[in-house]
Amino acid sequence: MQDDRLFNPRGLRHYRRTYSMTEFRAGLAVLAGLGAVGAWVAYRGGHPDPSLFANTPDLLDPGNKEQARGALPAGLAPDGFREGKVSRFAPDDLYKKINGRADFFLARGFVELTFVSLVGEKDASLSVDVEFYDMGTPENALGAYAGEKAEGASTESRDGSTWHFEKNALFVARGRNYARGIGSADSAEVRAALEHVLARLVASLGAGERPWALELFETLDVGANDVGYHKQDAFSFEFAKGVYSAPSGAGDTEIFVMLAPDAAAAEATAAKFVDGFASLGERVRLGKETWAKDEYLSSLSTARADGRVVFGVRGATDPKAAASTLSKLAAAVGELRGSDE
Amino acid sequence: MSYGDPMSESDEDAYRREQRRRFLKHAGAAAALSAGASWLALAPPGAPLSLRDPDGEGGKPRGETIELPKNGYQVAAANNAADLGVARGENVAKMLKAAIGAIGGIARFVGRDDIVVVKPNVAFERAAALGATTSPEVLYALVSLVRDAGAREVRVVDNPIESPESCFERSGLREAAVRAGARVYLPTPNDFRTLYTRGATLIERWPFFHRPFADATKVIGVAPVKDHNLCRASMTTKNWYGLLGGRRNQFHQDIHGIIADLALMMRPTFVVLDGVRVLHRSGPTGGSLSDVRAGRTLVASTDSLAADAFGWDDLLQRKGEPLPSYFAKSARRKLGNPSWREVRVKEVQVG
Amino acid sequence: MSEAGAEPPRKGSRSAFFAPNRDRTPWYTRAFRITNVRVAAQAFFFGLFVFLLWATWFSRLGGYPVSLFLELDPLVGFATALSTHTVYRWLWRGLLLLGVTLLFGRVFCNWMCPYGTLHQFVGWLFNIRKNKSKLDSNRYRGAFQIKYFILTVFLVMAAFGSLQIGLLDPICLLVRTFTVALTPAFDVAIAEGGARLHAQGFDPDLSAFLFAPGAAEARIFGGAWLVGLLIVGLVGMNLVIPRFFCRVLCPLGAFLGVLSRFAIFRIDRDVTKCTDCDLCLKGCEGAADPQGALRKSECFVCFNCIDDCPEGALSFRLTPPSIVDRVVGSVKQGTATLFGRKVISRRLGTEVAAPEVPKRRWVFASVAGVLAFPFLRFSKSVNERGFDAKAIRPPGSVAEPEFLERCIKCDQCINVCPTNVLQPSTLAEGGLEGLWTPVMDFSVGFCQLNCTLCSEVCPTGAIQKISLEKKLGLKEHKEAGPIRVGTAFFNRGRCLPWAMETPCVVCEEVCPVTPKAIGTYDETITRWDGEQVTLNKPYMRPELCIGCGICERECPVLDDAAVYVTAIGETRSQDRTLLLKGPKPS
Repeated sequence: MQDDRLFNPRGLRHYRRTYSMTEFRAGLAVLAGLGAVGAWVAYRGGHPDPSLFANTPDLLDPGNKEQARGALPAGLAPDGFREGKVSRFAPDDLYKKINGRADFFLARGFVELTFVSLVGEKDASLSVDVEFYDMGTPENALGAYAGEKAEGASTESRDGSTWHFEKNALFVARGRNYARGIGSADSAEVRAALEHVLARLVASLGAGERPWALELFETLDVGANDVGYHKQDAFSFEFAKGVYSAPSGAGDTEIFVMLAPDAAAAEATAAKFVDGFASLGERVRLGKETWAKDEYLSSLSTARADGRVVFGVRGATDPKAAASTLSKLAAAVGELRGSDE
Repeated sequence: MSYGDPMSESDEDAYRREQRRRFLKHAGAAAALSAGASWLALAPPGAPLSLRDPDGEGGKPRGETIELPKNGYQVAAANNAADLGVARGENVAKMLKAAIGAIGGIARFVGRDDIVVVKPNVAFERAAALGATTSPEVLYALVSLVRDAGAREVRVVDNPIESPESCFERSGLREAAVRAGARVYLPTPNDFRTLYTRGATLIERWPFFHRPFADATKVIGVAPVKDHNLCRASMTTKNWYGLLGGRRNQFHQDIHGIIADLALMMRPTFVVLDGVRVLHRSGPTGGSLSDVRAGRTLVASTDSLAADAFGWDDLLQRKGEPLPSYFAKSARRKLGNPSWREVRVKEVQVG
Repeated sequence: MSEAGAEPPRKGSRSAFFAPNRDRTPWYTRAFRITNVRVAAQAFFFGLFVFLLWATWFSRLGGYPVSLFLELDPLVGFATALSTHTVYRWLWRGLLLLGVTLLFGRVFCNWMCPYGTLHQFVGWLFNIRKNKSKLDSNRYRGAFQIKYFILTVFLVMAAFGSLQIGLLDPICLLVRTFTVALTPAFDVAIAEGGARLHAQGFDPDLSAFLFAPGAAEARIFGGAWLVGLLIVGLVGMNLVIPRFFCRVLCPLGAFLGVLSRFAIFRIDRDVTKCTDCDLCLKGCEGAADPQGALRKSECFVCFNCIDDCPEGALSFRLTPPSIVDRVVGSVKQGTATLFGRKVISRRLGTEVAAPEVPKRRWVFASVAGVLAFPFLRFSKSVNERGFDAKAIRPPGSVAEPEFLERCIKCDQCINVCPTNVLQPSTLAEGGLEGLWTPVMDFSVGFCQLNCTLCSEVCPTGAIQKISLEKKLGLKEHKEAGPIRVGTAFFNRGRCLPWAMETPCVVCEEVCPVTPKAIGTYDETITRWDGEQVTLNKPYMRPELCIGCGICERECPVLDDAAVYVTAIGETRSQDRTLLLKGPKPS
């Protein structure tokens, strides 16, 4: 019974007798804070991150014309021609454009194809289709160029560009790009248009860093299109990275060069090459040089270092020719070093 | 009352009366309860309130089905109108008006107080430009036209394969429909009833997106022109696929039979074939802009087979290739004429 | 609205409510006294919490900070900082709550925490205790230490790289419960109601009331029964011990309790006014002993004690000086008086600032945490050998060990997933350590190609925010390629064209990548019944498959699909790749 005096049965009732304005003001401040939180949430809700609701076609086909062109230089169309629609192809849809040939480019590090057709303004039957390939690196671009070249075509090479014309077509490699233009007819107008395209490409594309090995091989009369580039695992040696190789002279003889971080590393790598070659046969001495003779093919291989450059000859059959190839290569490397330093 | 004192006479009586009343109450309740329970359990099946079910059939769901109107949602034939109206041009609103004008004008089909169901193809969560769904501008024009003709309500309805909300949103079709004044019906689990389609071979009874159709008076299909990996072309007939629910993934086992059944199931007021974007390969999903071609054509028709055949020849540009076999199957049921040159065709150039 | 305490107004008289109080303060100081403001704040935050869960959906998301409560939760921020040594995206927001706690103590628990509000509301609604038993139910018990042991175990485990706070953190727990158990049930009820109305001829658009509108199939979640059972059990415990979860289990409460010892404000009892009636215990939510030495780390700052004190002895003020006045005397002999006035002695203030947990027990809990880590981690799921083929994480997820450093099992990703493919993992996929973390179950849904919502709502970066370009491998992500979550395989023994001479290839049709990852060998054969059929026998091009699982979802061989996705080949982990060629995770 005593409980009843103390405890009011009506649950909502409270016992306090004093109130305060400070408390009231604090309460108002809290309510204002709640209002602010609500307003902030509402504001945030009304301002979404636009990228969250991005639509795929915006990504696939940006409205921005500049982007749609990619790296394709402007002003490709000569007087009397106009540019058609530019379309771009990535590795996963390259087959749509060049079905059957896609693998050739994919194997050579293909990044992107930009296609544009130049159409005669007066005569619509006159056209030049330009396929502009981004191959990622100058080596890849040259590789694509070399692979596409017909037998016996005469290549010109100047200032980092390599090109040749065939009847109604132009093939050009410059920097990391490879391009071909194919005209609708073997006529003077088409030829002029192709010349214009070439000039525009050369003028507006960077030559990129021309692989030093190409210069070197050129002095040995090895065409740029014959040069192979092994990013890693050249000749199945895991230490051989960034090796350029090219056929030299008769048979399967190959010359190769690579750049080591410093002279000591170059010496060590050259020794590794010799060890590696010798692991398939035996060491023989020819003059002052140590060569490795293959047990099965009886071919001769060796490597040397000059400064940071490692170079060598691989798979030579004739000892005399091998020695002379090596000395020529050594001379070229020496010259290159001289001009560099 | 205490046990110490003997009860007085009247107390005794009162006590007995109380006892009797209590006994009668309990006995009555017990009798009523057992009688009631016995009735529920033992009364012959069919008697009121009887729960008796000797063979166990009573507990199974009752296979209640609904049916669509006998002649579908078609309107009476008109002599002076074409069966197939083709409009070519750039302005979608004008083209649509012209195409429908060629088959008699919207007033022939939609009147005051009509509740019109519009069925676009919203099958995939793709942006409109990729051509996997009906073009939003066509839907907008169509809904506006129908509303202007006096329709009481326009309902835009589809049950896409991917998440319905995202499909409607991503394709821009929700915005188009709502802006034009239609109500969008997204399916919920309770919106499906078993539809009975007399004569259908494969989907005689199948879950149907019934809710928007409950009191609808007209049905208009509006479908894009799409290549299809399995049935080769998906146009206005295949579009009705999106009205069904249930195990649709079985349909691929006889897709042509299914499409012929769909043609039988839904006899629309008319159909619109949306040739603004033509998904000419990699259908029905597409995904690359290079799969899409501008068609610059709208077709309106009371004969969906003729419209689809026109789309095959003219928009997919497969003239000369044999039509997919669902055309012949549907034609055998007299659901239309796939030889579109034999029907009355009117072609209009707009703008 | 409560009536006035001191001067009961006449019933039914309108003006009485607006009459000034006996202490001459105006009526609104009574109507808007702090406890009523608190109730308003609780209603606001609970409403905001539910609203944000409601907004966690494709068509509503906009820019709403839908994981706001999880980000404000300082335990989430602190524990992930322990496990990852980073503070992800919005988790700095926990500092706000940290600041509030250092000022005012555990105000979060009784002003903001939606789970606390739920407990308090249920406890109030179903309360049958009165008078003395009500007072006694709010006295401090030794069991209230348990939450500090739980916190210690979780934090020690977090430091080792296994984040388990989500098991019991109230915000994670409540988000998870809403997602997995409450909203699906609510949605089914609304849809059913809509169908009933439709049968009566009404056709209202109820989609605004649904948490997950626009789906032809109701959402289902693995293990919903356990999550549902937990909430019923934990909320039901309020009938046994009021605020059972908050007082006994809550690791966030324990964390804030440890912090609140530094709080500048606290409830102060003026002993000269106090009559030791213990009425302040009547509504004490935290069981913080306001009638004696205040347990600061237990106090929820609900202000009920101020409301219940008839003497006005309690107030909320800056931490009082450590010397306080005390009336001299005893119950037996009465108050000592001198010249008719009470005798006052000066002595140390009465409060228990720190949690009352003996040092040796802290140590025990820490050791338990140290041991728990290897116990959990040596189960197979996390390691690169023996992980479960069906533990397929959503796109954007970090590799499994890092994932477990980050995932707080809040299941916001599961809430936002439009196709229902994200499921709380059961013990089968992730072991105890991965319990309730998100995995994709392609028998339920599939990963929609253009959707990155789960990565947007994840508060801790277990699923890192990815752009659509990154998910699909477009633009600058071309080289890295699309994000793969697994690889699809064909079970030719169950595939209709391969095994049963029946045309099908739904899988090829729905494959969303371009070019399609599913190709077909087309072959025309004469069936057993003499009919000529063309079979498109599907095969997988693994370089193109991103593991989205729509093929598995749509495969007509429903129970054990003929094409199915497993976790191998996922790009998030170098160790779980499948193909030698192709892009590797960076």
